[in-house]
Amino acid sequence: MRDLAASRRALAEAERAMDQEIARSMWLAKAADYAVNDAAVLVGGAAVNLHTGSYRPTDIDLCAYLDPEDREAMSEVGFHNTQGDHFSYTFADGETWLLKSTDTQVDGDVAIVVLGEQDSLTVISRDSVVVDRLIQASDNTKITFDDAVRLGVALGDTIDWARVEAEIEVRHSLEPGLGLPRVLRRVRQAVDSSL
Amino acid sequence: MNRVGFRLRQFRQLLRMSLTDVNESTGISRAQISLIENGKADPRMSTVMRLLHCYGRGLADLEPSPPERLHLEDAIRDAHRASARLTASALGPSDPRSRLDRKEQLGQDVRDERAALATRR
Repeated sequence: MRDLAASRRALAEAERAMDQEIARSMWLAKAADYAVNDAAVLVGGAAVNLHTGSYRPTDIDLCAYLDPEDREAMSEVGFHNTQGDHFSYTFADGETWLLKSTDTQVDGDVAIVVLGEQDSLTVISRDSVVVDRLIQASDNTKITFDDAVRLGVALGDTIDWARVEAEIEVRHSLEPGLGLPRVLRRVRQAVDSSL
Repeated sequence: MNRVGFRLRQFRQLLRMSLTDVNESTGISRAQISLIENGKADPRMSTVMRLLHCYGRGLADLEPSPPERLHLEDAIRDAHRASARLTASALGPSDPRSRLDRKEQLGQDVRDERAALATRR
């Protein structure tokens, strides 16, 4: 439910989180979540960074449906609507962060990050982030492959590989052309040799 | 994606059972199992129960498990540990500029992302 006062409070927390990239990204996402009616879920690079601390996101990706009132509310609290559901926010210290929302359901499981006594943010879960990065690595470029390996190494034995494998099998049956089991095998080999 | 079908497929694949295996065990046709798993059929409860029984599961397993809760401070501490594991393995952090180069090669306009990134410490 929209709560502009809470959104401004979350923005103030994000302002205070100077030099704390993860905290700033979480509070900024929470400010957007408070400004819109839909319940937003944080996905993408900021979620990877939350789980690994080593993935500087170039923007914040949310899954949430936005209508014109939501866009207006986000502008009211200080986001600049650059186009469609793309926004930017400039902090007093000069940092500009981009945020975009897509009207899709989160593809996987979620976790709840407790930001403070009154505030929590829904985030794509660790295992689902791994699946997401494996899907990205199916484009067979070095950069997405290396990022999937980094994620595997960073998360180490906290990954439930059996669960990831089961989900990859499901995705493979739906989109066999991506070759996901092969991607998973290669990434796991690279992770194992890096650990 | 249909959640019940998705979960049923997960249970089957965790056991590495083929559609034929399940068909032989339950008598439910392979086509029917496939339709259920893909959310294209609305199965009777008795059919779902037969499948669950075959996988050694119960109805409660179809319930989504409650999401994990983590406190931001703990998540940040874990993220620092994860980052240290990467450093120890000689893998550095992901390079955002390389990622933007790739997006650009794919024809995406990344000027705003580059400009925003340049403002961050």
